[in-house]
Amino acid sequence: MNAFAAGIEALATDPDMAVAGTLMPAAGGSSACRVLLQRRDKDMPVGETHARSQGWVAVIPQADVQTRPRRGDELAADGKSFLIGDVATDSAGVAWRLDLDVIG
Amino acid sequence: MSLTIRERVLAAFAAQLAANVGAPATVERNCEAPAELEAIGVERVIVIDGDQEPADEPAGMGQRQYVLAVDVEGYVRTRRPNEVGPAINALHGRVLKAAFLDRTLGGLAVDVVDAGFWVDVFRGDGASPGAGFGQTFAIGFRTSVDDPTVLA
Repeated sequence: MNAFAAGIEALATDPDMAVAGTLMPAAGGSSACRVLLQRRDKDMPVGETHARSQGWVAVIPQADVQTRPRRGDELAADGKSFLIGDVATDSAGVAWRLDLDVIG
Repeated sequence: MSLTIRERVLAAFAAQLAANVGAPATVERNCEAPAELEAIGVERVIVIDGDQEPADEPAGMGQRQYVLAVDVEGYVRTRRPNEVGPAINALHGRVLKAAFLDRTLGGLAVDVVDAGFWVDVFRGDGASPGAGFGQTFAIGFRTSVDDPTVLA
């Protein structure tokens, strides 16, 4: 385990920073994971005005989820259900970075 | 303190929309901007007080007729891009139907008419699909020449 993987592992096991989650691929099945959640709202310009589209970002250690999540998969964490949008690998290549929207 | 007829008309219009637009939309008046869209499936309708002008047509003796502009904004968020057009158009249709349900607003107004519409679909920035519209209504009402709190 390199230093970056050890760092994300430390964050993901910190009970004050991470929460338990369940990743649910659209293709079926589910897997437990640890999730670092943070808000990331997006401005939604429409016509002469704009709205704020509330969004979230999740960071999940690749040690928990080996297969790359896909747009359209769902994540349950912190009492919410999220739809996964963009999926990226973090710069160190040790975690998945997911753009999320709450499913109402 | 007596409410002006303008205020009573605006309150009645917002209440008529709130009672008839239907779930899951929420209707608010002059809420803070920008509108918050908390989740996929959320629908929001915002009623914004507008300008008013004396009407062109003459009112009766001792009366003054006004035309009040009310802007109604509507917003939706959907799960998939192909759902956003039908969702925003459905919400717009429900707003129109609710606005025209009682064109007198319980006897306060002369008429409620469509005075303009725009719609815009939001795409990009990784956000779930969304759209918004702006619908202007013109509401005619009459007051006493001498007292804006007295219906004429």
